[in-house]
Amino acid sequence: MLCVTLSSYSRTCGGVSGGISDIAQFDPADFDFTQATVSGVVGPYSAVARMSGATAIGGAKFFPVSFQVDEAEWTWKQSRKGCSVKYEHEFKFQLPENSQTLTNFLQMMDAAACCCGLGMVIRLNSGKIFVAGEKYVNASSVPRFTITQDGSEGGSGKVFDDFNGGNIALKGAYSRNLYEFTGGWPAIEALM
Amino acid sequence: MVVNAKIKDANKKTVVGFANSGLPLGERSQEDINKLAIMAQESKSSSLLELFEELPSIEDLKAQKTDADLKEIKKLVEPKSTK
Repeated sequence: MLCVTLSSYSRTCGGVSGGISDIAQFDPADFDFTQATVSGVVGPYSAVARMSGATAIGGAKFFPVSFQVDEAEWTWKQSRKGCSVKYEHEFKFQLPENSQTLTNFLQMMDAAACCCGLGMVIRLNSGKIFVAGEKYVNASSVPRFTITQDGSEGGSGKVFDDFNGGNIALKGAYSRNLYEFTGGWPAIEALM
Repeated sequence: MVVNAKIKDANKKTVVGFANSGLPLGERSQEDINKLAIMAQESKSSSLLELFEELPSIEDLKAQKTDADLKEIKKLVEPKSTK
């Protein structure tokens, strides 16, 4: 305490499953997350709403991504140089079948990478929901957190039981790990 | 004394995703609206604060929730009459 404020880490005893259950993407400019800091403790995001001027008809929605079951993963890697901290986040998921639909989806993500980046909401199999790439919190912009498609690969495969489709890779570095969203997945679905 | 937050009429169709729901604010329970009122004040989010016509203090809203929870607990704990 004389040098740094530390806290304990504990969780309720119990199992926890790995894997991702659901993924949704959004335009970071469209949504505002709510976060409270109580007694100096930073809380999770507890609510989300469209920014003023963003409408569902205008395309301000969360867009679900139907990936191959058990083929999605979020990883993060922390590193530092002196006091400068970096968290490298990566989201990988498999999309079966090369098609015009897949090509359009890839082009959409490439376009986002050139300007505003992608927002991501993921629900883990454990039930926890996390947000990446957000731009607005408590009606104010936060430091830029850009998630882009980088390093996706795919192909046709050679024989009948080879994989035909794309293995998508989205990456983004930030100053911290992801914040949790505690408003529940139905809250996200209502904005799809 | 009952203390409740109130959403402005103009914002009753606004959708805010929280508490496992994305129903428009005009269709939310009073409990949900009070929760949102607490979130608005704790976060100091101008976009949430401006949704409310009446915004009781966090202390009053939390005290009311505690009273309501205690009543529910009392109902569960009290033995039912066996007439």
